[in-house]
Amino acid sequence: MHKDVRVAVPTHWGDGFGSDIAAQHIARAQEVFGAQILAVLAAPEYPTDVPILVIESRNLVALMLQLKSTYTFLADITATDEGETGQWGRFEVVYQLFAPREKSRLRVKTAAHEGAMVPSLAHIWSGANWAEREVYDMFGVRFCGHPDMRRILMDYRWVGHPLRKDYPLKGYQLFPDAAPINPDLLQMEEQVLGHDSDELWDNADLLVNIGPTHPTTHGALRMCARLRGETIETSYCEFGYTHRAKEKLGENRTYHNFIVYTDRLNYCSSLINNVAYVMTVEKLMGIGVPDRCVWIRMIVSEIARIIDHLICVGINAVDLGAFSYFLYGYHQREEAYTLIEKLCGARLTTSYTRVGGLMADAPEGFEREVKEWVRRTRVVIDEMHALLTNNKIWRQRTEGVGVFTREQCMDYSVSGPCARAAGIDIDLRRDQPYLFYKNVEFDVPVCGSGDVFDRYLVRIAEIRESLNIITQCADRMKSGPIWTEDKRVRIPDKDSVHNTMEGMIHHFKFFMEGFQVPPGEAYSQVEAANGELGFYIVSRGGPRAHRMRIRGPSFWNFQTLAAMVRGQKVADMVAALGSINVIAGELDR
Amino acid sequence: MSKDGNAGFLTTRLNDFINWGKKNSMWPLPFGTSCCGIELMSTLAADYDMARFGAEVVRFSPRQSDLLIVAGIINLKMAPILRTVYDQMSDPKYVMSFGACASSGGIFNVYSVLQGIDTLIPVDIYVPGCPPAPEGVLHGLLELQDMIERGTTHAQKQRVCHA
Repeated sequence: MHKDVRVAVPTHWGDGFGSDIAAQHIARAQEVFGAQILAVLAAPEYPTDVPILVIESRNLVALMLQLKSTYTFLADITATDEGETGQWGRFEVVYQLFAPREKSRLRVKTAAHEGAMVPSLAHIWSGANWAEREVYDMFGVRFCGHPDMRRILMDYRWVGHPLRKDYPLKGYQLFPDAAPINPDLLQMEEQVLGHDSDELWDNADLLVNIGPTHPTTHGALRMCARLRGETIETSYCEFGYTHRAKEKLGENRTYHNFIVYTDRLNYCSSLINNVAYVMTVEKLMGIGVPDRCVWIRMIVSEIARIIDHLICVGINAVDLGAFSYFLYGYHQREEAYTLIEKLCGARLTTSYTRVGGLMADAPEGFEREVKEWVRRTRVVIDEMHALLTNNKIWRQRTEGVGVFTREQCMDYSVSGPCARAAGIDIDLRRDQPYLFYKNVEFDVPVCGSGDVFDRYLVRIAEIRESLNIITQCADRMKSGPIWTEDKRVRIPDKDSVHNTMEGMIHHFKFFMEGFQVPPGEAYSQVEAANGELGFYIVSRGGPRAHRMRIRGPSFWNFQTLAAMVRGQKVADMVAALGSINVIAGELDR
Repeated sequence: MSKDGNAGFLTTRLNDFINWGKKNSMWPLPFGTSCCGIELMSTLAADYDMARFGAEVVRFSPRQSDLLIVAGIINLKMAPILRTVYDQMSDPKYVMSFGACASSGGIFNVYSVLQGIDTLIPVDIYVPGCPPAPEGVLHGLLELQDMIERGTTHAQKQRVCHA
């Protein structure tokens, strides 16, 4: 056992910003809506991280319009199945709101009985479209006024709603064939400008299916498009081909068991997922971790961010024909794997963090090796930059392609490098600093035009910033304990397990039953490689979560694709899709 | 062929020769769906370089490839598509089940996941791991080459039966 008890202040969750703004808005909402506000839940009476407004569903739209003036960013929409015990109805639909300027977060809930409708927010935030479809798919809650109320992850013939508590975990349903292209969804509302003015094409519409096994989709996505010539007139995306029921598993596995499933969300940067998940559970339990643990978590997060960006820009270049560029980046990724292997023994699916600590301490000389890797990576990034950035073909293929403006990004809740490429200056590492990000110096690269080229530039600039952060962390990391002293979550030392009865019982109960998490709910947001990664955990006590929601940035970013490529060529779709870096594991979960 | 029409000796040699050719020029179709796809990319990239074993011509069209590498999870929505892709490949075709999800469903024994692709298509070689390390993939590839040389893959055995 470590004698050095030096528990970090529990601010490494990135909380406590803008709570006065939230209070003001709640007071105003209470004034305006009076008895329509069913409840205001806030700490300390109700164990939650941010205040919650519960409103009757018929006033939801009015409330949201009022809140939107400040809470411009719709972070997430999800639901929980409360069963018979629900205070206001069987289902509670949960909206996570974020005010980027005031750095304030607020949660709004509304309730729905079985079969009742909830008003859709798709006309307030276009990004709500898919999220509401997912709620319908998983819970069967319908949204009135929604433009396209179809299933999203499951097959269109699926019976039942998997995330309902009464749906069995192993309720398989197999269908003999794949979903065909749905021409109804490709009806044109208006003529798209800029198509080839060749008479040959003028009345020749072509329905094209791209994916789910197509070299450009990198994962199992599918896109159906109506073309005129080579111009995409309208298109829709189909996915769910790698749906692995991680949210359902989150309710059926203990908190400790669930760590392995977080690896497989965004598998290009699984370390960030590990960190984000355990941080949420720590927040729920009020556990702080020692300094060394926080520094190591920061280093691994930044390494993960770099290798994710390397794979994104590399693949984007491969799709446009620059293969050698990809190999440069991939070699550096392999070197990073070597570092990660030294930490946890695995290359890709790391499961490195534990609730309250880490799987293992960094090996001796790790700081030196990391700095050496940073030095080499800087050289490689410079080489890659020289190879591609001013390449004429690359610029012609990417500049002005796949443009998504600042306003569109906010409308679709785009976050991360894609939003920053469009000029939205949000980086949660700086704006809601978690871990020790407030103690390191780094810039947030922002571009303006929001095209594929700017996304590339932002990613390359972010790699350089992450390298700086890693160096600072490695300099400031000191030896010390990596585990919290909290007995509830601390995995007992092997010494005590093998030599004492209490230790063995503790070990047995820890792994067979899991640790108990007090009732409450928490949403923690982390700046992952592609944007805001959020875990929303609702606990009703016990070793398993009542609801485990994962807000993956890919889901929200991918939604922009159809709007982004409208009126562009099919080949530009390839460039645009590569640049938003959709990771299927995080998209489908 | 000898004068009395007995072709046995020559045919055996020719088979060996063809198998030698087959095993050293596999054209893989990377059916990468999730995490395993990234490790498959590692195997194809410069550091591990699958091209050293003749399997470098990655083809995304099933009609041009003979080795189907199913890298990653196949869920129930994807299953019919995998079957279609397999049916579109021309004989002789080989299937490598890459990683735990493809082989058995792995840690995902849930409503949406196919519990092993061998319930759907014949698999010649399983590469274990979640995901397998590139060394494991290369080992699997070499094993598959041995199988082709011996003529013990599903496609080759089936052909003998038909003949």
